[in-house]
This record gives sequence, C-alpha cells and structure tokens, in this order.
Amino acid sequence: MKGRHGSGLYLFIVVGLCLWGAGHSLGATPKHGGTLTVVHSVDISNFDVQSAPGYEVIWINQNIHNSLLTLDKDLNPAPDLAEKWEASPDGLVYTFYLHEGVKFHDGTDMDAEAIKWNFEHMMDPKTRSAIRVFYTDVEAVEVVDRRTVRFVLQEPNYLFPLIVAGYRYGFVVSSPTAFQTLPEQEYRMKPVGTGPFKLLEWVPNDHITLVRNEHYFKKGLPYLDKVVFKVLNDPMSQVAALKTGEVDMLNSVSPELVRVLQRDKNLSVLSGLETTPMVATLQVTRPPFDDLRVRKAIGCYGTNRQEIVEKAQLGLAKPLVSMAAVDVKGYVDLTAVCPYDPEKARALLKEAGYNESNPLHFTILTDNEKQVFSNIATLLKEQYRKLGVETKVEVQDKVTWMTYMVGKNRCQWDQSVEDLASILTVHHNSYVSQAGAPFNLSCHNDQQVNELYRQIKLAPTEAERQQRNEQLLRYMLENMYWVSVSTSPHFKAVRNYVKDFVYQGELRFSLEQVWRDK
Amino acid sequence: MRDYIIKKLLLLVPTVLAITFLVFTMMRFIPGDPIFLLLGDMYDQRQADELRHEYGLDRPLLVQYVWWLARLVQGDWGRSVLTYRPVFQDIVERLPVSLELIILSMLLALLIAIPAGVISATRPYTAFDYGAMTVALLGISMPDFFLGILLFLLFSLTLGWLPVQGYVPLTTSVLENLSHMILPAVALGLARCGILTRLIRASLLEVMRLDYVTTARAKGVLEFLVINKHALKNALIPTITVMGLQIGFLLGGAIVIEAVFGIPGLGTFGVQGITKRDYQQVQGFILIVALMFVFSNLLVDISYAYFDPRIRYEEKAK
Repeated sequence: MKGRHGSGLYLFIVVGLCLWGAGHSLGATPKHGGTLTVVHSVDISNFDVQSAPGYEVIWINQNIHNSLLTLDKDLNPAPDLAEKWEASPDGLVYTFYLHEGVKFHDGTDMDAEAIKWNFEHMMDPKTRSAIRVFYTDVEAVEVVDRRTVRFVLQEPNYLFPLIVAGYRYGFVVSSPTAFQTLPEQEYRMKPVGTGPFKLLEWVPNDHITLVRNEHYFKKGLPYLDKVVFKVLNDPMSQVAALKTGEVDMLNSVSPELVRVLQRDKNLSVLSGLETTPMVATLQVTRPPFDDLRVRKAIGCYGTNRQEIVEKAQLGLAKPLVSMAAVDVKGYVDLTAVCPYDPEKARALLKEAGYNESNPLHFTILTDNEKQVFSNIATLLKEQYRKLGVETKVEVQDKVTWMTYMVGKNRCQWDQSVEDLASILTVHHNSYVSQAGAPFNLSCHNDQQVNELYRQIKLAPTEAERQQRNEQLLRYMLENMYWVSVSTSPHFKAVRNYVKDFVYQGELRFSLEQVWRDK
Repeated sequence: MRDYIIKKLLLLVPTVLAITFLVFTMMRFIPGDPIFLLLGDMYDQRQADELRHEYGLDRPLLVQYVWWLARLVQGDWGRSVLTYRPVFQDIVERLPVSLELIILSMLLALLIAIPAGVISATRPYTAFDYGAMTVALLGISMPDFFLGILLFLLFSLTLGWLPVQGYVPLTTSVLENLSHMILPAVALGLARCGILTRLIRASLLEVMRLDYVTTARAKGVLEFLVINKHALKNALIPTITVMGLQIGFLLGGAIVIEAVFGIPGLGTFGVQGITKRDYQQVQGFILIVALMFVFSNLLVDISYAYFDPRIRYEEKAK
C-alpha cells in the first residue's frame, strides 16, 4: 500500500516537473511589445536594396522588405510574398502565386505588376544592382493576373527558387510608387517595402529605428513594437553594453570576444552555420603562381590549416580545403586532397626550380577589416618560412585592398588573405570565381570553370547537381584557382530573454518572429 | 583692438584654404576612392568609370578643388558619395555633440587643474603637491581610450551607475544628457587636467618669485589676494596658450572617445569619411575642424588682452 502511494506520489512529481519544465522551455505564448536594440559595428551608407554595400544594410532591409521567397531555418526556399510556386518540368518557367492583400508601407498594392517592375528595375544597369548577375537567364517576366507572376528563362535553371530566396538577400521587393514619386536621393534614404517593420528614423552613425508595421500581411506578426539598430564601433563597449542590458543583441561579434561573452549566464552566443570561407587566394596569371606546382606547394601541401584554426582562429573555425564552406549547399569534403605535407611541398618547389640558392619569395596581401586576416597572414608567413620560402606581409586598408582586387592594381599581387561573402550554394560563388567575373579573385581565365557552373544549374535532380558540384569543387582545387584555409565563423550574441530568433549566419537576419520574454 | 581682430580674421582665410587644399590633395594620393565601396564585390569597370564621371572624380585635381570651393562659397558643402546626404546637414547635426564633449572636458579639466595647481604651488614639496603631480602624470600618460574603457568597466559594468554608450540631446533631458556625457568628458578631460595642473603650478611658482608679488606682500596684502588677484592672473597666460593648443588635441581625442562611447559626433563622422574615402565628407570635416582650431586660437589671442594689459598698451601706443 505504502509502495503504491509512494510510486503514485513519485509519478505525480515527475509529471508535474515535466509539465512545469515544458511550460518554461517552450517559453509559453509569445508576448507582444517592447523594443529590441541591436548593435552594428558600422553604419550603413544608404537603404537602397539593390546597391547599398555591406551586410548591415542587408540585415536591416530584410526587416523592412519581403522577398518573393525566403529561406527556412534549414536554408531551403520557403513562401514569403509568394505563398506557393511551381516550376515547369523543363525548368524553363517558374510561376509564383502571391499572397492576397499585401500592401507596401506607403499603402500601395503589392501585386504581380510590382514584381515585374522590381525585376525590370533590378535589371536596369543604372540601378547598379548587386544581384542582377544571377538573373541574366531570365528572358521575360509575365503578369498572368494580379496575383500570379511568371518568370520565363532562356535555359533551365533548377536553382532558381534558391536564387530568388537567398542569393544575397533574395528577390527583395520595393514599392514602385516610392521610386517613381521620390527624388532619387530621397528614395535611397526612405525604404518602402512590405516587411514587418517600417523605417521611423535614421540618425547617421548613431541609430536607425524601425517600428512595427500594423498592416503586416502575416497576421499577428511582428511581436516587437520597435527595433533600434545602434552603431557602436568599439568591441569592448559593445560587450559592456550587452552585459549591462543597454542593448539586446550584437549582430556580429569578433572571435576574440566570444569566450568572454560565453562566460555570462545571461547571454547566448549564436554560431554554427558555416557558409563563409577564409581564403588565401593565389594570383595565377603571373610568376610565381602561374606554375601549378608552386600553387600546389603553397596553397595545398604547404598550408597547415589545423594550425591556422587553432592559433589564428582561436579554435572557433574549421579547417577548409574545399571552395565552399561546410554548410553551403553542395559542399564536398576535400580535406584528404590537400593534407599538410611540407616534404611534398618542398619537393614540388624544387621541381619548379626553387631551392636554397634560389628561394621563392612573394608578398601576402591582406586588409585591416578584421584582425584575424593579418593574424592568418603572419602565420602563413611562418609556415612558408619552414619550406624555405621568403614572404612579406602587406596589410592595407579595405579600399586600398580593393584596388588590387578590382581596381587599377587588379591582378598585381601574389597572395591575398580575406574572408569572402557568405554563400548559399556552390553555384552562388560563381560571381567571385568564374572567368570574366569582375571580382574573380585568382584572375584565371579558364572557361571550363564557367561551363561547370552552368552544368550545376542545368542539373534537374539533387543527385545530379551534387555530382556536378563535386566536379566543379575538385576542378577548382586541382587547378588551385581557389585556396580556402578555414571557415570564417559568424557570431552573434543575444540576451537570453530574446526569444525565437532563428540564427541563419550572415545569410538572413529576420526579427519577424522575435519577442522579448521580459 | 578691433584692428587686431580684423587682421587676425583676415589671416585665417589663407590658413583655412591652405589646410583644405593640403587635405584635398593628400586624400587623392591614398589609393582607392569611394566607388570601390559603392560597387563592392559587384565592381564593374564600366560602371565604375560612369560613376566617377558622375561625381566628377575623373576631372583634374585642381578643377575638382576649385569646383568644391566654388560650391562652398554658394553655401553648398556637397553631398556624401555613399550616403547621398548633404555634408553640411550632417555637420550641423554633429557639431553640437562634439562641442559639448569638448567644452565639458575642458571645464572639468579647469575645475580640477586650477585649484590643484594653486594648492601645489603654494604648498610645494608637500604630500599634496607630490600626490597632485603624480596623479597629473598618470592623467597625461594614460591614453584616452584606455581610460574610457576603465571608466565604463567601473561605473557602468561593475557599479551600474552610468550608461556605457549612447547620446541624449541636451534639449531632450539635461540629466540624461549628463549621465551619458560624464564618462566621455572625464576620459577626455583628465589628460588635459594633468597638463594644466603641472603648468599652473610651474607658472605660479615662477610668478610668485617676482618683485611685484613681494611688494604686494610687503604692503600687507592678504596672501589669498596676492595669489588669486595678482599672481594667478599672470600665471594663467601660458595656461591660456596651452588651452588653445589643447583644442586641437581635444578634437583628436574626441575621435577615439566618440567611438568608444558610441557618441554621434564629428569625430566618428570624420573617421568614417576617411576610411571610406568619402571625399566630400572628409573635406567638410577638415574645414570645420580647421575653422574650430583657428577660431579657438583667435579667442586665445583676444583673451591675452584681458590677462596681460601690456598687449592693450602696445595697441594704444601704435
């Protein structure tokens, strides 16, 4: 009897604790209201969704605008302005069915005509759109009816939904009326989208305030009344402001500060999605790296990636050989192709005519945007020294560095250390790695690369696409057109009362469903 | 006195012009321009050339400078290439913030430096004197930004008394404004305080050895009046010169302090312009800084006349 009562009481306590715990862990019902203050290290230049540079403006605009499609938490295409979409079997026609009754912040209708106008605006060279390059396949955009729009392609592109959802920040839709009525300069200051938040004010180099869009088409969203993007340059001040609760989130945290933030029980450091590579690209059109043996000696066997991760990246990144980082769609692990093998590197250099009496010497170029770049460059210098190679590290500011990549000094360098844009798929990287691309880092002119990229988008099934991804990634590595050394992790830090934020690296920053449990 | 001021004002014009021309030229010698940032990783040579033409960046240097000057005379300070905002509007919004920071830090420095310097000079080689001089040395030696970090670690993070960052305009709330500005002003003012304390002490010690001070004492003037009415006034002349020069250093220090405390002043505006090669922004920034610097020096020159009657006598004699 006693035993039965005892076990009944035990069961009662366990069930009770489970229910209590569930209530707490699920965070119960989201609460409306409140302000979320998010810190950015630098201010934006302007709000132009098509051409404004930098991640910060992308993250802000993702909360003012919607895209035709968006990315779900697994980075697959998901409905946004289009509630559904379909592709023709030949991959040539994509039809998007739009949500009913969506309005821009200026009160005008978001319909198929607006989508068509946005496409034409994006393709106009005067717009200087950063995503135009991904839509050159599109032959026409047709308005079927008010809620249906059709994209007709010149050749099949089975990646099209992913391009629309997440290349850069997707196919972002702005109000045509705003563009047509506002003077050009004012238009860039006053973004008019359909998103969960509207712009209230921008005090340059201080803060940007967004307020809740009361007429947002996703019922009940957003939960927050206001979002403030505060500019705070100094990393130490950022940490202190987060710890004291003056701000709620740091949108980008330097790796050096991650451990400090992780020690605070009231904060969470978010990371884990690796979509950005850290590269040490070799410029292949002039000596010494026009010789594939030298490229392999330096970029493949002579680079100790594990040491870079441990010493320069404080153990927070992952070694990387493949062109694509580990969470990029289509990633293939090619670590085994380039093991650290100084003996082999020395042998290749000897074969190429470099030895103690004729040592290889070159310059490692980097910029001062992030401290980790010069740390890696210095470490590489030391690693190459062990191979008998003499190098000089040159640290430039970002703009000067860009003159070497795309300006008058283009292709006038030997090796460059940087991290590049976050990418969604292997194919997404085409704009910085195919022949003829303005930002083609290694300066190669191999048309085979372009053809391999084309074959990826032509692949109708996932399996075929993966096979072609691997083909391209191996080709890039065999020719050393791309030298990855590690991933470049992106950290955010947030106070624990901020709920339902979905971390999607640098690719997406949505506060649509975020709420404060405070 | 009027002629003296007019002469000084006329001298300012070539000085300011020379400064702006020098900076204009120097900026163009640094590789790269704002178009690189504007186009980013989608850089295209044809588009870049079009943009350079649109912004007049492809014109000869001298033509660009004359154009800038011609527009300036008409009250147009230009627009930022990156933000498209009028530079003058940005400066007008930020100038009061930086001025407040500079004035507060200078006031703070004087409030501490004058009494500390006087007490040190009147009680030389005492514990107070050694203590004050050691603290002054610390203030001079410690970089502004480091002191700033120490201050918010103590007063914001540990004690939770004051906010870490941000700015509230004086017009919104005086109390809120001061709570945000006090730490930056202390961080910026302490080094100046150290310099001024040491200077006041040294000057006062020198003046107190002069005959007229001995005469005053012999006549039975109270020691308090001897120091504050007769000696201190003369001792402050070199202090005022240094204060004028310190305006330049304060502007420089404000650049760092504004970044540490997230204050939207002129400093961060200038740095942003330089790192992004936003020529119009940098030109506007340099012009306003140059104007502030030369006007502060003019004020110093004028204030000599008050502190040193011989300057007025010389003017009258001429």
